[in-house]
Amino acid sequence: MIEVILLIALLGLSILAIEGRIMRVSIIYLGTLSLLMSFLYLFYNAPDVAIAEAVMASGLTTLLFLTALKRYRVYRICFTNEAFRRVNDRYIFEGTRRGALLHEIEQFCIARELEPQVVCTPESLDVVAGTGRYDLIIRQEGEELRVYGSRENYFVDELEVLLILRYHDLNVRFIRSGDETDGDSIAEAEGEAS
Amino acid sequence: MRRALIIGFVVLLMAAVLHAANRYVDAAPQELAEYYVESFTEDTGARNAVAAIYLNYRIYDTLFEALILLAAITAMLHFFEIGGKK
Amino acid sequence: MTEERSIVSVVTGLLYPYVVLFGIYIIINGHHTPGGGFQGGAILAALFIGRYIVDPTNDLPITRAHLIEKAIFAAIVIVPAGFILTVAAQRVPALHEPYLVAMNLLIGVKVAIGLTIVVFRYAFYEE
Repeated sequence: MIEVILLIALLGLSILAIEGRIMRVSIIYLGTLSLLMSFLYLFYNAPDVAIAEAVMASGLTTLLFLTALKRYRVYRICFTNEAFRRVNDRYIFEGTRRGALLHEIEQFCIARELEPQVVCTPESLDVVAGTGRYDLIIRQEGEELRVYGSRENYFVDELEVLLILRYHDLNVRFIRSGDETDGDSIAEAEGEAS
Repeated sequence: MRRALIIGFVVLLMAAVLHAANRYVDAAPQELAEYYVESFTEDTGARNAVAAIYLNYRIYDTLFEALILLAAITAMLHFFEIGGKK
Repeated sequence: MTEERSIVSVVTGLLYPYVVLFGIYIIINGHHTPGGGFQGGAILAALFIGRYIVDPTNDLPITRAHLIEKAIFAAIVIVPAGFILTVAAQRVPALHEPYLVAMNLLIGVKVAIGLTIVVFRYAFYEE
């Protein structure tokens, strides 16, 4: 009976680990799965295999995945405004409300162990999106700010909630595209939004 | 669509594996297993049959397993030295 | 962030000696109870890697560790070649138990060093 419950729990945990959107949580699900599997090996009278499973899969693999997550990931943000002829970082960063917003995004990245890299440019959106190098594109158009991000990225979900809660006076609009923030998918998402 | 195809493929694969496992007959002769279980203590002095098998009866398996780990780590160190930075 | 880290590091520091003892126990007692060189070595390696998660300082001399691992592999080949694969195994049955303990110890140290090298190399050098 316990065996059947364990097997069903294994199935459920594996589905949760695959379907989970947050990496860390998926890793913990995998560790739990391995732990339950080592219990199952004990039921089959294989304590040696159970120890190996508990140590290798539940301990070492979890730690290895966490180590991989811990390493720096660069998050590229592009701030574009076609009205600028010459972009001056000081104009954007210091004192203004938009500068506060960019700072907030940077702090947000650092808190999630991402390394933010902000690029400010007067290029048009098509040029910026055409390079396909940016994870997040912020575009100023008159008084409106548009943020372009991937639909699949849970990080952008959290950012969207944060910005809408704290910067609603800046007229922020979020536009979510497909897997990547490249030219085609952004044009598509733009079409859907308008 | 793609998801459904993948799920179908996995289910098919699982059915095939289960079918093969059902038909599989234990290949090692039963007498050998009985001999190991009965006489491993006087043969090797171990009280854990697994240790007796991997350190005595099947010592070559252990040797080459250790060799595989060593080879993997040597290869990893060698290849990372080219592109990696100190 | 720093709060979480300090809690984790205090708990890891408390557990550290016990887990080292447990790993060594599993290695030494591998021929009597479930366990053995591979499992005990993996426990020791998991401990070293967990210490990296808490306090990422690079103090593992990788080249020297790899050299030690090669030497231990040579010992792993030589010990059975001198005992199990010769007539000595039948002539001197009293040596069986020391042989098992020695092999488990060698395998345990080798696995611990090997897995730790892999993770440290990956964490600090690869770019």
